[in-house]
Amino acid sequence: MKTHRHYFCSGEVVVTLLIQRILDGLFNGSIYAALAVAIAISHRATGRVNLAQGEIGLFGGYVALAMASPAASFVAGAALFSNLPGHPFNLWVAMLLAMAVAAVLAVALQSVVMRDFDESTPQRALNRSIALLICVSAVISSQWGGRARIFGELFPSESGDFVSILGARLRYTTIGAWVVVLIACGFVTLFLSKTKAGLSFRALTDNRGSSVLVGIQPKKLMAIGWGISGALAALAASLAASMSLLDSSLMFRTLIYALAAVTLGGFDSLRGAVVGGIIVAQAQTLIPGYLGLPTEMSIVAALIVLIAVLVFRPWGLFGQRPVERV
Amino acid sequence: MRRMKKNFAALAVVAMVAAACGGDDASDAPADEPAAEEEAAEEPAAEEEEAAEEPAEDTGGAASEEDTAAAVEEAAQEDATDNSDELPTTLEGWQDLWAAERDAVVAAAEAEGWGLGDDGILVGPAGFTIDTNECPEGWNNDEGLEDGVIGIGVTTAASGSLAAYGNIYTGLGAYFEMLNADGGIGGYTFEVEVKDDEYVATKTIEAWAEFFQSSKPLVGHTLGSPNTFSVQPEFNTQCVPQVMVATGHQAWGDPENHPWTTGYQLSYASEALLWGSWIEKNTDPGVVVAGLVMDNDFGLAYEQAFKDFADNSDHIDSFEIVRHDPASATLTNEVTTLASKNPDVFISMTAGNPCVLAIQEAGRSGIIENAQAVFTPSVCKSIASYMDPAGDDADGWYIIGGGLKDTTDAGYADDLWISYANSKLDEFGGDSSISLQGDGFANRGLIWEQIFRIAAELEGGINRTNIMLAQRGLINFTHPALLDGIQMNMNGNSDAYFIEGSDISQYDLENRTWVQQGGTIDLSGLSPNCAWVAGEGC
Repeated sequence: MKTHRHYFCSGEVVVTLLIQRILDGLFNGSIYAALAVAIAISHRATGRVNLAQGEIGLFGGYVALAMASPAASFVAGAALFSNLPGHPFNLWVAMLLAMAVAAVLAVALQSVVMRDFDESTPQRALNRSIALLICVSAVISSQWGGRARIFGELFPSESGDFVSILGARLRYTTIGAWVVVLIACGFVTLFLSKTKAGLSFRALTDNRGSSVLVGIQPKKLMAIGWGISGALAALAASLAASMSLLDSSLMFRTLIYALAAVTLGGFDSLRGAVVGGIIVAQAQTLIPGYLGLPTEMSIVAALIVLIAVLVFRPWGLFGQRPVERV
Repeated sequence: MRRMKKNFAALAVVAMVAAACGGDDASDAPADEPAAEEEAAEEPAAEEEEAAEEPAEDTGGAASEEDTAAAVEEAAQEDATDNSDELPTTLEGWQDLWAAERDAVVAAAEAEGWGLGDDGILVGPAGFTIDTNECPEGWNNDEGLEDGVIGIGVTTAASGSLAAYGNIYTGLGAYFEMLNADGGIGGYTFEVEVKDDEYVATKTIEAWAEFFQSSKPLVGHTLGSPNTFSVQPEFNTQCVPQVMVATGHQAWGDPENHPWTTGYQLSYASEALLWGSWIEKNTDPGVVVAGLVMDNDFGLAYEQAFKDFADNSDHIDSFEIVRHDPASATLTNEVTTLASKNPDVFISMTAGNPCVLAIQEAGRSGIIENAQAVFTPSVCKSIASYMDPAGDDADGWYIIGGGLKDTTDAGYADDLWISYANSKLDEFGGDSSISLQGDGFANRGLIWEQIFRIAAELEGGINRTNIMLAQRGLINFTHPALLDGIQMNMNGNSDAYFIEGSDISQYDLENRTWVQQGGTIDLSGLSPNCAWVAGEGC
């Protein structure tokens, strides 16, 4: 057997491969960014990281699937929604409704189970969010099982559905995913900057003590923060499922990358979460691709970036440097 | 500062390009290839040429390259094999045929003196022996038979990325429910305990530690190559039958060193040789073959067998490999790397959810439209589980199908056994629209039943050693879920593989069916045993 063809090292192919890898990373980046923004918002609401964020989103993803599936299908919950007019819904409608359901779930969890989440010590908060992750995951497994499901396509994703850039393929799914994520982030930004509740939320996250003194109700705003983050997490899960399959382990790995992204970008910054998502995804794609690491090590590549940031800029690329008053 | 950043960015891009390209020697392995491949690429050219001229050695687990190539050639000359005139046309007729085939095994056992002697030596066909004196102190041939119930322990992935395979045991469980409803076998009913190991070998070990210590089933069964490997020594030390494991690794054909373990399906080594033979016959010379390999014992069995073939093939210009994490949520990066090598043939060597992802990514990356042929592995044959979810990209894929009928294949809707099995599967709590449940019921359930029925007729009735004799001595069984022309048999130490034949089929998306290409291939009895050594092979 001969070995490798010479053309593999031709400049054209190498450049195309580089561009393709960057474009591949962009798609994953959209999912990490959506979940990272969700984590950042819930963190701003409570000052604590919610590790169950991915699973809450996954729950939303399954609800979307049930809403888009015929009642006679074997998808748990499809029969439940069949009484709603218009069921089974178009996948986009189902996804939007599921985002609403995930928001309600998140609000309910925050209001009932995690009511004093913000007042817990960091260690207790961590334990509680791990417990919540396990509980939501168990509910998902019991309802929908471990079997992977076809979610459906949110964007055209047949073989020919791409824009060619020097031979690399920018898929419509990547473009669509980013448009959706940026629109969602735009709505969140508008809410935070143009509404009374949003401004109160920002005030609360900037200075909790003073906000309470001027009459802002932290519990209500924390619930709103969790609701928004629940909806965004459901969006992330739906986007991820539309490009692969919906299964019960889908969001666990995504959570790790999203946590890296939000740490990288800074827990206070939505813009940082988006940029962090892109950087982590590119690291995940490019470092194993060009340093000869096995693909199992792609997660390590992302974490190397994370560690580097924590060492040199622990508050993240866009986070606020902590100020210690003396 | 800004200029510095720009320079740094430019340097980074140049570094990446250089890293991808490596030296100017075309024989350099790309950076993302596994170490083994790099080592192979560094071998002196003279040795490589010498190796290419030498005939391939039979390494065990598969028929020789010559026999395989001849079988592929022969099958291509034929139409789809049809022996239906010689087969029963009613269920009663099938029952009579199976009874006669069971009787033949029992008669052979009596005539040739198979059985467990007073000296503790189990004697079986073709030199098969087990010295039960080496079993642990207190070992009991009847353990797992209590209160008229046969205990069967199973570990499988029922969650995680290979969760779909858990459906096999929903189907198999339904089959045993059906048997129980008919009164069981030999005065016993069946109780199947299934533990989810998530396809993680350490969890398989934990699960079997529990089984061996607490429920102590009569026989055990495992799914997955890494999982089966992880507990195979324990089964053979404990002298517990590890029955017809759900993995095609060639290592299960080792009756001399691991007499308590039996495989069932076509070996991955055979499948890899059939890929190679088909490629040599049907593609232009000088092809580049790309392999997307699941990075575990399962995927590496395919990879090693195909690499051995490719190394000896003048037809195959190069075999490019990218391995993927079994738990990976997407395969985009891996398939992009393979697509950059412009493969003429793409082979997916993966399982579970990645079956679907590999097909979809091959479509999105342009591999399907540019390649002469694309192959999905036999473990991805299920239409409902893997081909349907892949959508339009599934059309036209080839498969070395392992010779079994998919119970959800529209082409078998009128098949007597498949339609009967599907109706019974639904009746006993299964779901016939899920092909892996159909596999557990129509395919695996039936052969489990025959093994227990044969064991019940042997001297001593159902016990562990008779379960092994029933398998090792199954001279011939006509399985209605196998395609015409493919035999199912085993013969002690001389033939350690039940199924050594296959179909070569191509997927027809419009009709939701695998369309057989030519006749079936049967290499029964031609695969040498495989005394597997990790890192070395058979």
